[in-house]
Amino acid sequence: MKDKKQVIVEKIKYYCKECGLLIMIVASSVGLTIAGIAQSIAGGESLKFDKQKPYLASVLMPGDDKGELPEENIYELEDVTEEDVPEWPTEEVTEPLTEIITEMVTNEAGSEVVTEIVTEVPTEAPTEAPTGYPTEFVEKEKEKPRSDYYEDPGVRALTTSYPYEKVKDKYFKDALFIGDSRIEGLKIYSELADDAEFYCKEGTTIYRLLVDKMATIEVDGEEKDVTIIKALKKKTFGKIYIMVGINELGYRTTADFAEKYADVVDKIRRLQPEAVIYVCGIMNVTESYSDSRDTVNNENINAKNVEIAKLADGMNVFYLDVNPDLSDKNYNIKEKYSWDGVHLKAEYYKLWVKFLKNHAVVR
Amino acid sequence: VVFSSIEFIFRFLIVFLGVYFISPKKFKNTVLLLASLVFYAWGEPVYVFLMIGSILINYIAARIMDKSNRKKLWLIIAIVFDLGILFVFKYLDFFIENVNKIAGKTIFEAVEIALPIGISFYTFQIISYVVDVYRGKYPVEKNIIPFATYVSMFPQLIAGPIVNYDEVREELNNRQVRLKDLEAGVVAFIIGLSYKVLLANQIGTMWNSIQTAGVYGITTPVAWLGAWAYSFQLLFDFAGYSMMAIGLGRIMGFYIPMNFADPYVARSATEFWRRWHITLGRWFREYVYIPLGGNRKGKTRLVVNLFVTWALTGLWHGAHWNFVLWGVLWAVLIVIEKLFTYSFLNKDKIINKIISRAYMLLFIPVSWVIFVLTDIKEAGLYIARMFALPIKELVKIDGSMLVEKYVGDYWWLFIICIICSTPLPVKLIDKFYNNFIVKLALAILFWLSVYMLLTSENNPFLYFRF
Repeated sequence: MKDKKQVIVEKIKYYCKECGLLIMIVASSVGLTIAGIAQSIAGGESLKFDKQKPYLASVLMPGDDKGELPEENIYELEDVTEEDVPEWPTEEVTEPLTEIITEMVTNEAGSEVVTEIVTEVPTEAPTEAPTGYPTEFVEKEKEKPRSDYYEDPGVRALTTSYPYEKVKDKYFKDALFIGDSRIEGLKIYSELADDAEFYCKEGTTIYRLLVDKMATIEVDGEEKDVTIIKALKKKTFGKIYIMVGINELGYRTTADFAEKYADVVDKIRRLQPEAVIYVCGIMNVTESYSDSRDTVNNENINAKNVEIAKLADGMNVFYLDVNPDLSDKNYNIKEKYSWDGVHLKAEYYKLWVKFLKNHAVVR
Repeated sequence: VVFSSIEFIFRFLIVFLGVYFISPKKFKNTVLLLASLVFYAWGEPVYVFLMIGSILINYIAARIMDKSNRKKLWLIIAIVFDLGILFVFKYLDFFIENVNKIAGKTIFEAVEIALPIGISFYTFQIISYVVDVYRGKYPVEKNIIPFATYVSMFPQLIAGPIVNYDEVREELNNRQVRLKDLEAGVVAFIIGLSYKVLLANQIGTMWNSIQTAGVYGITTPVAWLGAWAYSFQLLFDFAGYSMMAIGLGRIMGFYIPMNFADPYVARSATEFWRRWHITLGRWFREYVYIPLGGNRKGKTRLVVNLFVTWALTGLWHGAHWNFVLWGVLWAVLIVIEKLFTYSFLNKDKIINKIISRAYMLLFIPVSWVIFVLTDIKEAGLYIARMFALPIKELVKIDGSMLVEKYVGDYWWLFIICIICSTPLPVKLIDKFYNNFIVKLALAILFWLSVYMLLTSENNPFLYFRF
């Protein structure tokens, strides 16, 4: 009896030595398959790959679920750390009777001086509520959406019509740019970063824009990474440019995106009520890139841009769309402007800068 | 299909191995042959017939040659046929483009034939077989099944190594698989898979990201980082694939020859090519360089022979002039070494070691830049940036930001890549293989690779970061 036992132990030892790895791989494969099947039976779900339970059973099942909206419970809205943002004032502000506008004026000697222009503001309330400059939408041919993440709105948004002025570099001295890798590219490859501030992070989305620590401020002489909300409480900007939205094209619906975007703009405005807010249409991708993808394509981008444009009020919030300056006639980024189809090559950022300089709101 | 895909590992391979091991010994080659054809047809449903045609014609040509009195004629017929196929499917458009350029007008229209996967590899195997039979290195294969299996065997079919027939001839007729072989095969496959998925694919994202800005937006340190990132990507991609092929072969009882032997530790161009893509270098030596006369016909012929061989080696990699340039550059180095510097570079003194390593570590990335940027002008600008030469239209940028970004994100991956391009990891695995921890680590590497593949295949957005 004992001998038999010993023989078995010897055998096991032998196999472990000869092919221990093989046994491990086979055993874990079988285990993961059974676990996957058990889970799907217990949960009554179909076997479908899901990053949170990568059991082999779902791997062995053929099936392509690209372009389908993920189930709600898999992804939570990521905006969890709500920092307090000042509320909009509820009472009517009746205080300012005079308005002081500071302007840079060139005097006869040729140097620039700051002049204060004091204007009396009429005390009686305006008869009509002020309306801003309109943001127009033009019709476009409707295309069938290629995934569940968007629907073609059948219109295209144009840059808010406003008597924009041409400005020089110094306009951006009190400007802030917020966004993803495209904005990061603008920071690295244009000269705007000499004047403006950039709060950007590769791969960020509208859902994470106010959550991640992508701003740098000085606290007691030390540079510190903080959230944008925190930074905006510390520093004041005259203009804020936002371009975000490419990373979440395959993540939640256009309605979710619009809701979140409105919320972000609202928070930023509450923090910086004096600033001009530019909500920038998401830059398109090239034709070849767009054609080969069901989610990251220019129809989806357009759907999102239409929602962004609706936030513009023509007074404080303006919609800017750089795409016409970078696109071919079919509204795709020109192939030669981009190597990867998504980002501009270094030498073409100047086109974007030129567009921004030609579309400045000066108040 | 590539080996590093879920489809291959969990569908094709599992089903194939099941059928293969169940089937009786007599039919194992047939099963392997059919599976290889299925594997090839999966990616090339039309060109599979081109390969079958190639196999048949060369099989027949070799049989006739064996019996014939005019052996040379049949050899030439077979080689002309093989190179003709390769020319039409790989180089015709390149040829037409150049003829048109020389003529200054469009004489021929481009034909736009898609390149059949693996054609350069299997054609070279076929040629080596026909030539060796002609030379009487081994007898002609009378049975078509082993010959067809040799050419189309899926482990080495689409990316090498380029196997010589006599290396697998005996195994094709009679091979044994012990548990130990299975285990060794699995180890090799896992190492190769991890090289490909965990190293090459990951560091490849850095190279891609550096390329997005284009040559006008690149600073000198970033240019070097990019060139090194690509060097690692290419090494681990290619060496990983070869390793997987070797592992798969071993699982079935074949000893497929080694293709990479830590090329980046080489101390001279000559040594580098003994370590990089060994089976290709061997093929060109055996079937081009030596027939040309090698080094036996005086110094002038030696130099000419080297340049011809390396220009062809370059051209083999693709139908673009940059590949020829790339090959010729290696030839320049090899010629200089053969005539002057080789013994100096190989001395064991510390100073020689430092100089020879620095020389290779500078030249290797430069050579890969020429290799990867098919536009020669662009490659020139890139190299100019590497050596901080001024170029027109350069975009002024604050380079420290970029260096910080790339070094910050990838320094650990660089360290792993450096370690893995030395012989150390494989040696350690070998030495401590009896230790349970090594086996466990390999199993973890396997599942980690699978996980990475799964998430990037089924969930492209996980790695979607702009």
